[in-house]
Amino acid sequence: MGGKPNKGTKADKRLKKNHKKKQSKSVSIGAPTATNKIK
Amino acid sequence: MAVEHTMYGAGLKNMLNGSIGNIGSSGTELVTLSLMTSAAVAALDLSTDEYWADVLANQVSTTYCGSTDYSTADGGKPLTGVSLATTGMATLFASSTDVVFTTTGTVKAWAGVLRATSYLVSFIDFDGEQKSENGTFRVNWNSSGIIRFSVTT
Repeated sequence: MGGKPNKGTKADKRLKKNHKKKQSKSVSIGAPTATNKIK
Repeated sequence: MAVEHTMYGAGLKNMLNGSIGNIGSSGTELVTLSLMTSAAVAALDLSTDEYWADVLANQVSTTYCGSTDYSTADGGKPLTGVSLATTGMATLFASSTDVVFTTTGTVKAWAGVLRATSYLVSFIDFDGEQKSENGTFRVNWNSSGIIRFSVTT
């Protein structure tokens, strides 16, 4: 009771670090049709 | 603003005068998609830009992309699975295949340029910065095609 909060073992910290490294983001850009009217 | 796609003014001229060859599936003229910086958007001039050399300086570089994720030397990626077909009064240039620059990398771009070798065809404004991080950077084509010409009477 009232002790220091458990910050996790070294393995926990390594896991957290690796998880951070693996963060990824993908993007898909929808290109609309270029429309041209000839009259 | 949304993503916008517009032809360069001289693009049609260079298609009609033969400077740009057959871009359809049986043709030999490769259409390439190049990725561009925000400077390209700021400097965009659809009425005077005609050649790749006019806009090349604003292509993305390793400042924005992993060196294996985008090849500045290649100037982008060629389109595959292309077709050119006329239905009634409309002619459609299309591709069945999205352009994927990387599936595991980092690419940052603000726009795309479609060109046939050194001739500019069209400009795609990505509506701001688009970025992949350790992931996929993909440009997917509208189901209605990439470029459509329709003749009205």
